[in-house]
Amino acid sequence: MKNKSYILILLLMITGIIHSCKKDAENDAVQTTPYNLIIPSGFPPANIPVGNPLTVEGIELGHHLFYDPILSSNGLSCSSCHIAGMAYSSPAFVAANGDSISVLQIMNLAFNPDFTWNGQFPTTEAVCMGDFEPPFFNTNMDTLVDRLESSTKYKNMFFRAFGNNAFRSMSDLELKTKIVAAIGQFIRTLTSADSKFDRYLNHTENLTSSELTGMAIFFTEQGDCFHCHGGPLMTSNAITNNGLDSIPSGQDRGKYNYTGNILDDGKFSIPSLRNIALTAPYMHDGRYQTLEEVVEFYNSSVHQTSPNIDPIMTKAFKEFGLQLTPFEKQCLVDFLKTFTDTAFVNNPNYQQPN
Amino acid sequence: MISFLIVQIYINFVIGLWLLVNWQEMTKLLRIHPLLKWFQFIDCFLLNVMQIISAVRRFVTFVSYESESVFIGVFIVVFISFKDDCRHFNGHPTLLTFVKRQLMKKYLALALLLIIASCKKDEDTTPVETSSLSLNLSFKSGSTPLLFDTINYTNAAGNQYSVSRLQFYISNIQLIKPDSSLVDISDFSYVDARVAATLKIKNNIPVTGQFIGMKLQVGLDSAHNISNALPATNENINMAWPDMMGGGYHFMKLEGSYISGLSFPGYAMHIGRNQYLVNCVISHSFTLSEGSNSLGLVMDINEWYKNPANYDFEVDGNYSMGVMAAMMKLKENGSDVFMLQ
Repeated sequence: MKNKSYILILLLMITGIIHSCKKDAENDAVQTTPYNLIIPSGFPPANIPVGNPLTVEGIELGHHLFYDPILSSNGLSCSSCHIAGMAYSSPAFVAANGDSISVLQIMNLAFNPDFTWNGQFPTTEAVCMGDFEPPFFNTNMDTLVDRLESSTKYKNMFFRAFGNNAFRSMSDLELKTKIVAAIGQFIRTLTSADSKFDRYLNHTENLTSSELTGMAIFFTEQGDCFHCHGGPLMTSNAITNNGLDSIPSGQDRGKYNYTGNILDDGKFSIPSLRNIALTAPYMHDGRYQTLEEVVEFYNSSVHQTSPNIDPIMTKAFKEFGLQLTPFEKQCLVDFLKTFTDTAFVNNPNYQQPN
Repeated sequence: MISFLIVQIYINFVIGLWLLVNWQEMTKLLRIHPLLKWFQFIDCFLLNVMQIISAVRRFVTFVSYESESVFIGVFIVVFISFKDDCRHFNGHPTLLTFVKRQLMKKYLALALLLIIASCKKDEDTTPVETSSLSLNLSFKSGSTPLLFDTINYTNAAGNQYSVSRLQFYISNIQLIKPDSSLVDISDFSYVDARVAATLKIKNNIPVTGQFIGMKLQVGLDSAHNISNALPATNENINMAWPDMMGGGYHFMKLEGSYISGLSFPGYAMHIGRNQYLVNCVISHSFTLSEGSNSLGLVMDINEWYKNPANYDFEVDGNYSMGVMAAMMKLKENGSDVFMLQ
């Protein structure tokens, strides 16, 4: 009895000391391993939701789920539309209402403040929640639970990541939340920062003369691409109107479609230009098939009277477009192609797990 | 304070209870000896204790008791009452009664001292009493408060305009003493008129007393206006001025649209480069006392377009980028954009 009490007091003191040195004590039964996201030089701090920190176990689970059609009732997985070779994008698909939607790439999303073309969603998790519905996975939650229950792999992985694999006792929302949390964690690890242009900036590779000419157009008032696509992320992350349509309608109204504010008419989240050569077609609806067409749009076809058009798009002396010569346009396209990051596309850590 | 403690205790005991109820499943999964149940429970129990300690310490600091013994006294009272609560909560009185008896007998003081000692190095030192000045920024155009995205304002040249973006750096804020000597109080701050969190600039002030004005700069001085010199935050990255055009940062981006005949073209007043750093002087008498002070710092956007020379979008250009004369005009007009209130 006396001995026992000593042990108990000792335990009390030890746990007390351990706790007093911890900032946030965890009550979880499983210990997860924090994942250290490597932030490329010059990048801003990562934007990771407080409730879903990166863990090695969560990322592993998310990685497997990303490539696994187990989540869907139609054989689709995330990787069906987010293909490695296309910088985790894919050609446009046609929605049920006939709208064509260009599939966004998955890349550097840990640094992204808003998601989807019109910037409607604050986190990747919020976007992924919609993917259980048609026209995407059209998931039947009952059969999903059966499939997960019968998978030793996922039972183990869920337990390691969340300390809970009692799928049958989770509500649908709980299970979905865990799935999107894991996939969100995996998606945030996809980092691209090793393009030819990055290597040029790091003085380890040269650009050709046409690429340098293109760079001069890109980073000066001549092409004036940099105001929206400058910086290491190659997007200013603003939501704005680049003058695609004189009178936007339907999905072309962009941010207006969820705010209902007339001042948001025609505004879209500025996409990153990293790996842009791999992510055709272009614009939210995929209306341009090639980079040449995109450059030609900015060169001659911007609708200056589009509502809420960004002031940067309507500069003096540019009422008739950028007026680039065919040679300059080709140089600009050549420069855009230096944003391709083959190390990212071929990174085995992001590809189909074994 | 008390309700805060009660809520904390409650939450943690619910967690502790949950652990007890689910322990069978847990042990099966983890293959841990059931004895550890008590370990886990005590763990949770002590977590409460630690939270109480930190709460009490905060309280003690708040009422300026420096003495540790007073703190321990307060703690023991809380501890004893807390233990009575938990006996009702957990439904397992035997262990707790046992722990209580043992703890209260001999080891309480020792355990407490150890816990407190182990906490101590994490606790911050007593804050040094400093005086501070908060500048609360606001924006107007003439006499009208700024409302984004509406063509609502008229400048001295008669341009009717709206504002869609207003981002800038304020740096090197200095207080002017009655004898005209200057007191440095700030390095630099980023301001986005749309983002409330950037509209309060708080600095410690080394001296208090009477002042007759303030000096500040819109932009960054040459020591900071170098590519990648500022931390790589989204804000700073988006203010970067491309190396191809000289590097450094935009000092200000003021954008919107205006009425030109029957159309609504955009305008963008961007300033950058060392020679266009805007020096502002504000004459205003104020007194700063010990502790926290605050002043309103108001930017009148119309002042960018007048005094000494009117700026007309139709004549001087609706884009200042790459136009030296336009940027120089803005720099000179900018010296009186701010006022204090």
